[in-house]
Amino acid sequence: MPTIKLQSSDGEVFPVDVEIAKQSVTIKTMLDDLGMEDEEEEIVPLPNVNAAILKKVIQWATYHKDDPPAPEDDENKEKRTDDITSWDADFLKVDQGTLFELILASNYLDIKGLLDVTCKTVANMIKGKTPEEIRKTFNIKNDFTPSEEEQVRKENEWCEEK
Amino acid sequence: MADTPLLPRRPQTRLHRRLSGSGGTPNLAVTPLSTNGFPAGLQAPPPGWLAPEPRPWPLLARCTSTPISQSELRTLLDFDEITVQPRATPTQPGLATDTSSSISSESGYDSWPSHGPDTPTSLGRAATPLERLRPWSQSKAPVQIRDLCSWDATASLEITADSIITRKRSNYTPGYFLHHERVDFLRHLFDRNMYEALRISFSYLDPPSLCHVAQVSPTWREALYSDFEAVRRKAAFLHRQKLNLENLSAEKSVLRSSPRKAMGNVSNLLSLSPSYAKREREDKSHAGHSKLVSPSKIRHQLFTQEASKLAPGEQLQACPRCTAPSRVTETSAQCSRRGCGFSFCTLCMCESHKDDTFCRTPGKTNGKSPKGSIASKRSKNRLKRL
Repeated sequence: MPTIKLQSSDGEVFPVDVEIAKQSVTIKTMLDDLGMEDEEEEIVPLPNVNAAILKKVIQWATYHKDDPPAPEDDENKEKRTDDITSWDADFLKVDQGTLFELILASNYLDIKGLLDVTCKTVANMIKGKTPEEIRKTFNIKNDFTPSEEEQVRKENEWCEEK
Repeated sequence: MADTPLLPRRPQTRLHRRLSGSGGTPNLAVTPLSTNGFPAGLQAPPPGWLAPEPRPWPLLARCTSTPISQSELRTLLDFDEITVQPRATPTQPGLATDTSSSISSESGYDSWPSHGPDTPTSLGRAATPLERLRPWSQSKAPVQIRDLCSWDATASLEITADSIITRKRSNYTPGYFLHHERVDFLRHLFDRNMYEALRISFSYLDPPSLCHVAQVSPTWREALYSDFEAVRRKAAFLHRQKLNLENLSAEKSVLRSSPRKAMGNVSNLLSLSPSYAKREREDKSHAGHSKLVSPSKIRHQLFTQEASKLAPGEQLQACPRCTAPSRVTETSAQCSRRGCGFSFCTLCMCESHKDDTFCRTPGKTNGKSPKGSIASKRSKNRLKRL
């Protein structure tokens, strides 16, 4: 099985199975465009991902290497957020900073599955919370002016009543 | 990038594209034009490069508040009129943002941190919440781009209308956020133009949560409004809620049923026709649907309901004590309200006379005859007067 070497922003090199690395559309496109020669020991620099995150991304990709391609999303249906597999849930039991880095990395590497599950986790953190609770969860300062807040509250007042 | 002096670019094309609206992607991440910082093809600074007049900038700053005409801009943005001084203090490399104090840290993502008050930087201040709420931000089309090069450190040097208006942060060190306990996800995603990630996140939220997202902060609101699909879902939900809660649908159905139908029940003469039973059934099932009755119509509703139970020939009268509908049988009536149950004589409106059926008190109808009957002594006297 051919391998490819991925270099993180801080210089660490990870040898990865090509099939696993190809879950990243960015890497896949690059390999397809450049052509893959087995003998060459080329290193792919990933300047936007650091070692800790790249390690996690590779871990995720290795576990999900046999996954079928995700079905096209149905625009009209509200999507479920409670269908995160237990492995993914354990994998994403990290602090918010790491989760955010994972979103950035999966966006940069274009790994749809990982981006999806990380965004789903964020959505779960938001879901069912009042604005004040959301602010507390993500440490957000409420910088609405009182008049703006009143306007926004009025705009959304109908959502409160059940 | 810390020791690279801030060099001017020629932002003409980008600005023009933005103004003409053909690009439709006001938040596209910027890419550096050339490495030496001068406009393409120039090896040396053109004459007047560092001319210290800050003349164009106060006008350019209007981008944040008032629209600027295209011709005006064309004259403003001739590159030899733009003056940019080397930065006085370099930004900390990699510290794109300060998440611990999320919004307040202005310098954390300011690409031109400390210039004189009359230089361009002082004008490229953060968009105030009011500006964020302005309608143009809501009409933004979601742009799906991959941020492969937008983190490029030199990108922040380019001065564009975009960076002046919304001040997108673009320098970032991988791993900067690691071990941060709290991260303002939506703000950082939005600032990085990661609309795809925002779209996915919003697609997993139900409409009430989207409403809450819009109320968190101006930036979250703006981020939400960048996703057309989420805004559409939220608006549809709010519209549905409004209809349900205002009971508009129920009111409509009440209006549609003709008043004649309700009166027919009261008179109860239709009970003899065969279609009545059917209509009554329909009415009952209909009444089950609209439980809410406006307070002004509650008495009408009470009487209508009571009338539907009447036997042929019976009629209703208001109870003298509680004004609830009372069923009349011959000369006495019984109030239908359970708490009252008052039984009264329909002639004198007093308690019904149990022993003798004859009412001695002159009632409304009784009192008429001695006074007003034709050919009585009194009426003859009146006639004599003529």
